[in-house]
This record gives sequence, C-alpha cells and structure tokens, in this order.
Amino acid sequence: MERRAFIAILPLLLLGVWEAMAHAYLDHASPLVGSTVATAPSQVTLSFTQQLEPSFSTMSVTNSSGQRVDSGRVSVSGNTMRVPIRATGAGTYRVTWRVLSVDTHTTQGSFSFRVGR
Amino acid sequence: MNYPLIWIRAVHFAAALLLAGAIIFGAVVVGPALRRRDDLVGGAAFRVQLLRIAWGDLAVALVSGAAWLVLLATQISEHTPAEIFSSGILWTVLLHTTFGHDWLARLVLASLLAAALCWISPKHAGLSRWAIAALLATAFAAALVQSGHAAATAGWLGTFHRAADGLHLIAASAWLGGLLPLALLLAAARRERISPAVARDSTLRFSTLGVTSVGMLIATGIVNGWILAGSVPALIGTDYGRLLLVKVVLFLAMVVIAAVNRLRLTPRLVREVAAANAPAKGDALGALVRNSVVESTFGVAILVVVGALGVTPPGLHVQPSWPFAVRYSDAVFGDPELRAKLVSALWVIGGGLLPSVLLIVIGAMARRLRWRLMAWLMAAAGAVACVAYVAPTLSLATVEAYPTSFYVPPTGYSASSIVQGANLFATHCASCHGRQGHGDGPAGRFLRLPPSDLTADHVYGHTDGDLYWWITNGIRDVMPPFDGALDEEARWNVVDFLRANADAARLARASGNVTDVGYRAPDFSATCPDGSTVSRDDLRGHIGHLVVAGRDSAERVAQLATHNRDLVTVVIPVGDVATEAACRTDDVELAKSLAMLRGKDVGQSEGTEFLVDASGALRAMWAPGGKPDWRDADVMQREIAAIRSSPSPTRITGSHFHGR
Repeated sequence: MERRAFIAILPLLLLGVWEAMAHAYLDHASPLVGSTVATAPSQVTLSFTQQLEPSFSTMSVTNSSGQRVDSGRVSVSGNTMRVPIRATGAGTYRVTWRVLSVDTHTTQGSFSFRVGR
Repeated sequence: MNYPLIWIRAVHFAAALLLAGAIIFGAVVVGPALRRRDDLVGGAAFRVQLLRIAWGDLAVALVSGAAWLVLLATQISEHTPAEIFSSGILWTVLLHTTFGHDWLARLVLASLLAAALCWISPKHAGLSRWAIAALLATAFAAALVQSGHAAATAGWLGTFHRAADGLHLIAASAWLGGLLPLALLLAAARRERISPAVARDSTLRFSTLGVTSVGMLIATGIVNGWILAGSVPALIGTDYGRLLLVKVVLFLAMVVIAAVNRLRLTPRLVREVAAANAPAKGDALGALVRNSVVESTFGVAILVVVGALGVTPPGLHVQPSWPFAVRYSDAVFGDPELRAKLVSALWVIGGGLLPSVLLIVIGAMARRLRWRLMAWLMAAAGAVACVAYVAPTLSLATVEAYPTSFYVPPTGYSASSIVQGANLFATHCASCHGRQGHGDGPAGRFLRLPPSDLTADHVYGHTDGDLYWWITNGIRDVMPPFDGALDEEARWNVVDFLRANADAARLARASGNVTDVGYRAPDFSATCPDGSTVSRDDLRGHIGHLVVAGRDSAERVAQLATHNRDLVTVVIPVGDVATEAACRTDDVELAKSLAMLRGKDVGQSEGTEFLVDASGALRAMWAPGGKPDWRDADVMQREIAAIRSSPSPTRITGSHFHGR
C-alpha cells in the first residue's frame, strides 16, 4: 500500500505553478512613448498594467549623450511611477525602467522621446 | 525558463493542497463516517495515518516556502543568497512587499495549524478540533492567491479574481487532496483493517464533496480563464490559451472517471456492503482504489500543464495567431435580407438538432445494445444532415481571415505613429492609392483592377490585423508585399494612418454634432495645472475637450478657463498661447494628427476642437465658424448631454475600437 500511496502522491508533487505568471507591462507614459514634445517636461510618468512594489521598482532618464538627467527620487504609487527630470534643451531622451509587480514578476524596458519641434 | 522557482512553487503548492485535502477529508468525510459506525481500532489507526500525512505536508510546505522566499529575493534583487541575508534585502521583501506580507500571514496560519494538529487526539472521535484544523489548513492554501497573478489585478475585478482564485484552490484541495486519503482508506477496508460500512459512508460523502468541488472548479476556472485569456482568439491563438484548452480536456477526463465512480462503482459498493459479503478481489472497492489512482494520473498531467502555464505570459498580452481561414463577422447583420436568411438558418439548426437530442436520450434508455446503437446512429445522421443543409447559409456570417487577423497594433494608435504612417503612405502607397487614399493615384490608372478606395466603408469591415496582413504579404495579382520595404512597426504606422484618414472624412460630415460612432482618438498625455496628468485612456470620468490653440485663440482659451465640471480641457498649442487653467500637451505630432483629422495642415488647424468620451473615442469635431456654435455655453451643454446619454459608441470594426 505504501507504494500505491506514493503513486497517488506523485502527481501532487508535480503540481506546477497554479497561477499564470503575468507581468507588469508599460501601459502608458508621459511624455508618450516615441513622441515629440515642444518643450522639455519637468517629470516622466509611467503607468503599468499592474500594481508595483515600490521597494523594487526603479527608472532612470538619460539625455542624448548618455548623462543622467533624472533627480533619482523615484516615487511609486499603485501602478504609476514618476521621477522629476532636469532636461535641458532639444534632443532625444531615453527612459529605462525595471519594475517588480505585486505578483512577484520583474519586467524591464526602455523607450525614448524627443524634445524640440 | 525559471526552472528552480517553478519546482519550488510546485512542491509548495502540492504540499499546501495535500495538507488541506487530508485534514478536510478527516473533518468532513471519514470523521463523520467513523462517528456513526464506531470503528474504534480501525478509526484510530486511520486518523494516525491522516495526521502523519498532515505533519509531513506541513514540514514540506514550510521548507519549500522558505526556499521560495529566498529564491525570489535573490531574483528580484539580482544579488546572491549570501548578500540578501547580509544586506537586509530579505527583510525588505518580507516587510515591504505584498508577497512578504502574505508569507508572514501564512507563517502565523501555519503555527496555529501546528498547534491545532497537536491538539487533535487520534483516539478521539470528536470533530470540532478537526474542523478548526481544516479551516486553518484551507486558509493556509487559499492565501496562496496573494502570491500569484490575482494579487496584481486591480479594482473590483481584482477582488473578484482573488475570490474566484481562492475558491479554485479550496476546491482543488478538497478534491485532489482528498484522493490519496480516499485511496488509503479504501485499501485499508479491502484488507479488513477498517469496516466496509465506514468505507461505503466515506465514499458517499467524498462523492458529494467531489461534485461540489468540480462545480466550483468549473465556475472559478471560467472566471480565471476569462480574466487571463481574455478572448476567443487568445484562447485558440496563443500558447497560453492552447495550454489552457489542454488543461480543460484533461480536467474533463478526470470528471468522467469521477462520474463512473459516482454513478456506477459507488452504487455497486453500497449493494455489496448491504449484501454483507466480505468484499473480494476485483470488486467495487478495488475498482474505486484503481480509479482514484488513474484519476491522480490525469491530475499529474494537469499539473504539468499548469506548470507550463505558469511560465507562459497570459493570452491577454500576446498577439494571437488565428489558425483558421475564416472568422466570424457581424457585417451580415447590417443587411436585412441576409439577416433574415441567417436567422432562419439558426431556427433550422435548433429544430433539426432537437430530434437528435431526443434520440440520444431515448437510445440511452434503451435496454438492448442494438436499439441503442440504432437510435444514436439516427441522431448522428440527423445532426450531420441538418448542419450540412444550413452550412452554406452560416458561411454568410464569416469572412476570410489571416493569421494576423486578431493582432492588436502595438503602436497604441499614438499620434506619432499616425504621423509616421502618413509620411510612409505618401512615399510607398500614394502613387497607386492616391494622396488621400481614394484609390485615384496616377500609377493606379494603368492597373487591371483599380486600387481600392481606402476611405470607403469596406475599410471598417476589416480588422487592423487584416490590413496589416495585406500590407505585409500583398494581395495576389493586385498589390505587392511591403514586408521588405517597411519594417514591422512601419507597417503598423500605415495601418494607424489608414484609420485616421478614413475617420477624418466621416468626422467632417458630422459637422459639429455628436456622433454615436466611436472614432478612436489619437493617444495623448497632458499635464494639468495641479500637476496631474490626463490621457486618452484615463480622463478620470470626464469628457475630454481637445482645443488646438494659437495666437488667435486667446479669447476662446480664456473663456474655457471658466471651467465646466463635466469637461477636462486639453490645449494643444500651435502658437504662443497662455493656457492657465487648462491642461496642456506639447506633443508636436498630436497637433499634426488632429490637423489631419480636420483635413488641414497644422498651420490652418488652429481653433479646431474635439470632444473625447470616457472610452477614448472622438465624438464630435468643431471649427470656428461652424454651426452649431460651440462658444455658446448652452450648445456645449447639449453636446455634453448627448455624449452622456450614449456613453458607449457603436464599435465600427472588429478591432479598430479595441478597448485600449
């Protein structure tokens, strides 16, 4: 019987991940992904498809020569994350993010926007 | 693939479900049966066995839970296990994340459960202690919800999702987790270590528990599938959806075995016990043990699928590849004559299948195999004939489809995409299709078949994915493929432009009045005076009022500063203008795409205004000099009321007006 019991247990030991591993995807950004804005914004805001964990979610903004222009003080609330930037002048800015959603999955990505007409 | 985490999760889930299943079995299945039958020796021995299973599972659950926490902390922080202990990352995870809070709560539940298990005496037939332990073990398993995807679904849908997921876990515990104790109990009865009456009563009780659990698994499984897979194309067109279908098939196989157990073997067991025959080999007991093991084997297969599901992104987030050459289209319902044909065909199906169903029922009741087979054959023939008869009519409701038919444009219908698309269209398409897409380009005149008018109504009958397919692969003998000249994103840009271009003509025709058709607005994001942002997809319950403003619009903008509570005004500057109380976006391409919708160049679009409803659809366009005059507050109030009274506009194509 012990052997039979083991056979019956086996399937349950193989029990996989019960839930779908979903991830936080970038839903919306301000300035918009790939957009061109006439004047430099004072902050960059990202909103995601899921709630974020503030302790493990971060973002940075660099200018066309690769220098950081964000203040480093990233604030996270619910599914949005924002950081103030000191963007000076026209050019392409790159936003890089890495977030942990509350269902414990890490996602990352980047996009750019342009300043100037 | 994140194999270590998958396996740790797998072991932890198995332990948690088995733990809950064993104690639930003790509390509501074998416990009450033993109390009524008073089998002192066999009962105590079996309770000892159940408690051993429970303690073992609890230990495995605790060890695997700790391993899960450590592994997760190393993965999300990208540090080594040693570093997460020394640098306090483990504490941050435990104290400052949803997962950590859930783990602390479950640790408390596990401690209480351990105390409850110590308190249970195997010799005692009382059930209250078992019931308390069962509640704690169930909570310990159901709390796993907060560590999974459901934890991240927002709003009321999230609450609903978590509730459904929790019930799914509880039902799975009761059924899957109870199969092993049941097999052990029945095997003990076969060896005459426990009385056959207890085995019979337990089987009957487990049968009821199983039916309840299966019902709950189906209902909650549908809810979860609906939230995660999202649509029919996602279900059959993505890996996630197809795995889900395999899981459903395996689950149905388990249900069939359970039905045999309940409808055939259980009544046989009852008869055998009533006849007071000592059960012999190959009897109902043996068959039930064997079936429980077979059922578990299907359980293995399901859980392997579930394991694969866990590392597959849900259908909602992946482009579904449509496997069929046709798809459903509701275009036929626009034509009264065709609609009548289709409706009568549906009646024929209903009327034709009814006798078949009756024949199947009659056949099932027939005693003799020959009659039964004959009835079923006639039913099948009738059904086939009926479907064959109406199939040509049913095809009226289908149109040609392609693998990309249900793709959702990754560009999000952004203004920059539309503007890019306009440039690409001018370079690659206008020579045949004409500058405005009317099919009147200079090169088109020499073609055997005239190029399609891309502003005509038929454009709205195609999905974005259909258009994308034609641009990518061309149309045989008619249009060349553009997958070489244009990259993937560029092809989507052209699709977005085609939509905006076709909408522009129709918006102009509405001349300042609210339409009940949803023309999707280009995506925008604006900053408001209080520092907040609004976007097409988040107007916070207001109606969006887009105003293209320049030097000459100062008066109008000042008038808008006297704020209307229903509106959120977004100024798109095309010249120097003070925006004061309004939200503002400096998106250069938004100004261009709105000018395109007006049918003008940016320089001539100043003063154009649009109303955007809560679903992100353009509902009205106005330009200075247009009637009715939007500068009149009463007129504006009427426009707002018109939008409020029909908040969800008609979807004009399958996917063009995709929610977001």
